[in-house]
Amino acid sequence: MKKSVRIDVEYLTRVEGHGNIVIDVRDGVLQECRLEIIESPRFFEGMLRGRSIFEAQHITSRICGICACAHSLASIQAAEDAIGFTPSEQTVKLRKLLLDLEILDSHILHIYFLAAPDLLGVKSFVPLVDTHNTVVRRALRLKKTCNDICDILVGRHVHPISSVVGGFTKLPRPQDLEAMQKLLESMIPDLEATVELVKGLRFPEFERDTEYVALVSDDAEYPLLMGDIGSTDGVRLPKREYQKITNEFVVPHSTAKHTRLSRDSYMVGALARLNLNYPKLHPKAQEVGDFFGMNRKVTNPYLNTVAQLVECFHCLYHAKDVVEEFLHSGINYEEEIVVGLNETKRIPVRAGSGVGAVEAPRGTLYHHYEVDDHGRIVNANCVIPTGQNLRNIEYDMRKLVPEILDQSDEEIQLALEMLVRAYDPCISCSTHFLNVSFVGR
Amino acid sequence: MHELRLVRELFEDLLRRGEEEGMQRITRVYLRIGGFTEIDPEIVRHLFAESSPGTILEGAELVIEESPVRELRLLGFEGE
Repeated sequence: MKKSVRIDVEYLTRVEGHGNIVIDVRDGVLQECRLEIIESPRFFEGMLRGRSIFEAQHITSRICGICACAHSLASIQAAEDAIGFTPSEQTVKLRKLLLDLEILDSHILHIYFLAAPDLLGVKSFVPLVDTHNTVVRRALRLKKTCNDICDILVGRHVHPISSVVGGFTKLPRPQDLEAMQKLLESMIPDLEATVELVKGLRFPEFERDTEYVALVSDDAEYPLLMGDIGSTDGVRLPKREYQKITNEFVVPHSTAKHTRLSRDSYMVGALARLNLNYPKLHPKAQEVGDFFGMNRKVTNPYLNTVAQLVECFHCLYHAKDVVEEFLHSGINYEEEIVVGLNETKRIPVRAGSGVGAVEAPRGTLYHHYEVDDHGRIVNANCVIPTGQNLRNIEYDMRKLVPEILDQSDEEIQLALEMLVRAYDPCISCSTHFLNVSFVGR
Repeated sequence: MHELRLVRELFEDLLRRGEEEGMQRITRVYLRIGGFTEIDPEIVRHLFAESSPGTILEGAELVIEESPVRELRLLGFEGE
């Protein structure tokens, strides 16, 4: 018999974000625990096919508004590697400065806007406007300063314009360098106040040793822009062999792919970098790190937030050193690339395949391009840090949940949300819309 | 927009409601999608077709009505 049913259900308001945590507990035993990612795929790799390598940085920087510069730099590195171009020493230094600024900016965002509300016992950053007004103002001031410096250096607050394949289309003038120096110095007191804030926060106690992966190098510099890929389990590989490390595979409950290396899972990001390269941090950063006890192998993922604070100091002081060096030695403006005039002569294009591996704020980011004779991208692969961390987060949850099963649903939910957020994932569950469902409890 | 999540919820809802109504088959589904949502009706259609084989929704026709506001509504369904 034919039947017609009339109803009216509105679906939009029920969308809680792009991440779900599912916990299945039966008779006090954890059956299953998974982090579901249901953000729709974005097909950036498909978009890149057929486009010129000179456009790629502009396209890929749109992958993220927070780590736009890291995508841009990884893209440029992959493109230059593919056509066999070696950037000048000056270009490399300026790129490092750009990456410093982005990591600083992104870490501040995470510490103040995402982690602090949890640790101060509120649901989001907004209520802090009333209760912690000076903290809110400081956070916004720090973010604005980072963005303003980025604007001076690459022509826009996010999505850099002047940093391109081959170098820079506009190099900072002496007055720009002076302005950047002033802005960087103005951040020191605010960053020191951030240490006081973090000192007052209580991080949950939880330990799980895992494999930590980040760029490593033989020189004395803390590797962020360049290096081989290394792990705390002793793996060391050139960046071109990144697929041995990332080996993305599909799991049924997630639209994001998973990765593993020597163990079931591995971690990338600030904590991984500290665990691998602590002695190479700027002395000012080590002072802060020593105070928080980060000068050993740290296996509490919640302390990723503290690792980010330590890196903030590194990036700020390293950036300051770079700017001061240029103020002293001057900039060679002959290197400026003028689009349509000298760029084809300076940057000869040939077919090839290249990899860019950069430490983005959230961990090691890979771009891999195959390029034809005309500099068009034939194939592209981008592996983002959050994807690499997903599996590690799940293993953390599987260890954590049985340890806290005696607590209430609300407490477990908060502990898990905080765990996911500690990784600073680049998906919308880093806001407070993570949906936790308990099955069978 | 997050069509996958939306279609999944819509789907679960329809399967449950269809069963409650004692339907063997759902033949037509009426939706209203607002222009202010950035939901792409084509992606909804595609995901719907992808998910339906083997369920009572297999082969169901999707009738999508457009509206200017921010909404995604299930207005009704027909079956037997």
